[in-house]
Amino acid sequence: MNTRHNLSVLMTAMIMGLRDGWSEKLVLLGTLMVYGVIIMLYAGVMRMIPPADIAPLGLTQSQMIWYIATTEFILFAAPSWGFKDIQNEINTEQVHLDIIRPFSPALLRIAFWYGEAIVRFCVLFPFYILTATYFAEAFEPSLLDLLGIIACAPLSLFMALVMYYAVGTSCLWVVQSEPAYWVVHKGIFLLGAMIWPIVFYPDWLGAISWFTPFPAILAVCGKWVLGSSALELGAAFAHQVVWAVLILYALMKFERIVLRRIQGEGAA
Amino acid sequence: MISGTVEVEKLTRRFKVRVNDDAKRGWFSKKIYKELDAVAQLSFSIDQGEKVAFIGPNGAGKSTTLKMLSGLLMPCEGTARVCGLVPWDQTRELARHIGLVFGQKSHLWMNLPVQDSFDLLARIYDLDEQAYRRQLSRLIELFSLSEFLGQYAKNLSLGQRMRCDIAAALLHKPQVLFLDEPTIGLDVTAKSLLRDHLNKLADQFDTTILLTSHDTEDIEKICQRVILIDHGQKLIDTSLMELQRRYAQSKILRLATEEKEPDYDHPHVVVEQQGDHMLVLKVDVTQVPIEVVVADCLNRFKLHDIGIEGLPLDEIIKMLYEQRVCYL
Repeated sequence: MNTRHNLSVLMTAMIMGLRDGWSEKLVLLGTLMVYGVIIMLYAGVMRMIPPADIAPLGLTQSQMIWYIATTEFILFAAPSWGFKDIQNEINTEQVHLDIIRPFSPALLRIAFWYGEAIVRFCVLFPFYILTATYFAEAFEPSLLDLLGIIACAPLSLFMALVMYYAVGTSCLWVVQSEPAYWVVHKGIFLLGAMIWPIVFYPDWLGAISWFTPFPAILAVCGKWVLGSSALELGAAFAHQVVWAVLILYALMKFERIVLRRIQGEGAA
Repeated sequence: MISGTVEVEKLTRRFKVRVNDDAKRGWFSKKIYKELDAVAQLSFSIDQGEKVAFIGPNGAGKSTTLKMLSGLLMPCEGTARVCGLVPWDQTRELARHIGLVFGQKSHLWMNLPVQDSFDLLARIYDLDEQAYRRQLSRLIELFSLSEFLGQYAKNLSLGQRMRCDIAAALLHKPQVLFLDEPTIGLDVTAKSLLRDHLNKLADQFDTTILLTSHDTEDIEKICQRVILIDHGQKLIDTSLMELQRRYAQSKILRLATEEKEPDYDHPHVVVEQQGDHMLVLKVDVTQVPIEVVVADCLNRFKLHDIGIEGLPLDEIIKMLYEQRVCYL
């Protein structure tokens, strides 16, 4: 197995994921509708915050709405329900056929999901711009900011998908993966999305969140619409790269643990 | 070239089974387990190109053994080598040399057309493009797959899916093929086609086959050798012919007679079927030689036709399961 082999498998799986994602037109339509409703609701909540309260933080209502629209956009682009497929495959022992192939089953699956995520990202992107502009009543980001979001999204999606994969395999240790999903999903949102613009959290919680990978998934993308300085954006991107590398490394180690668990216990 | 041999030495696998269930257990009381031997001190070896049936009643340890040999389970004791590799330590390396067909599981991606699944598998196994195309066209011809290639795997019938699945397992020309209930759920025609195809392929590529199946026709049509296990232990390891010869304690004698209502009475012969001008007898050959009964029938009846059959394989296996006969 070499780099050429790895890339060829990952590209093929990703292209298949693209096709699969595109074939699910109803899912895409449903995603757009839910996304629109959620942004509408959040915009309503943001409008309730008196502008004077957030002015000392250097934020406006419009920026808050763009921020939430951006982070939700990334969250919606990563297909989170795949963890159920993994759980199902483990419980039915279908996972056995993935294990006895000369390629990482985790990377293969994540590449496939990544293809789906690209479709969802592309379909959601214009809708995100329209929705955020409509509800924020302003077009906050510059063209450079939008390019920044597009540049940060690949690593964000990758990290989210790795987490969903890990969540799916958690049923090897606990009866069901759903509780782990709930924890991760809330972790991504509460520690990853809320922390940057809203300093409602106590300082210690804000500090702790930096030692989790969650801000690297959503907040790094969201930061582009808050008028942050180049230094802040650079630091955020570096933070994201470090966590992406750590997560990839952890995935490789974790995959070995999963294999040993299945070999030791049997899958179901 | 790695040879498709399988060597198993004192392979043992135990499973922990919960004795007390959660509903009856208090919050802080200890979980109690007992250990069960799924496979115990199992030893055998299979040469390249051999086609071996691995049989036993439900819970005998067949699938557990197959899982250990393909690297999906780790044994508690003992060793095994498949194609010269230790399956549970060299799982990925071994994957290039083995093919696995589970009747209930699929190599195909259900939301993709079959051709896409094949293409992805070719990449995963890093097959040379030309070699892959050659092998694929051979398999398409052999399993008559051309009409399914563009279809989504989820839309295929079970028989069609199984044919595609076996083709998927053979794309990388494995030296060893593990088949676990490959014909389960298939109709008679599909089963027959599948067996023929497997035989052709095994002969063509000198593939070693280890098959587990409850369908004795799979065994008769594909395998030359039988390993019978029960409670994780090997009871019999012999050729199929020897099994039929040695353990067929009865023979079936079919007679077409001139007499309208033929009847036969002998302490070691059971009348299985009786009708107009016909009689089917089951002869206990351990008590009375078949030639004695034949001679007796020739004396008693005016025969138009006579046929002698061995006991069907499923009868022999049923008898072996019931008696737990040890082969010495």
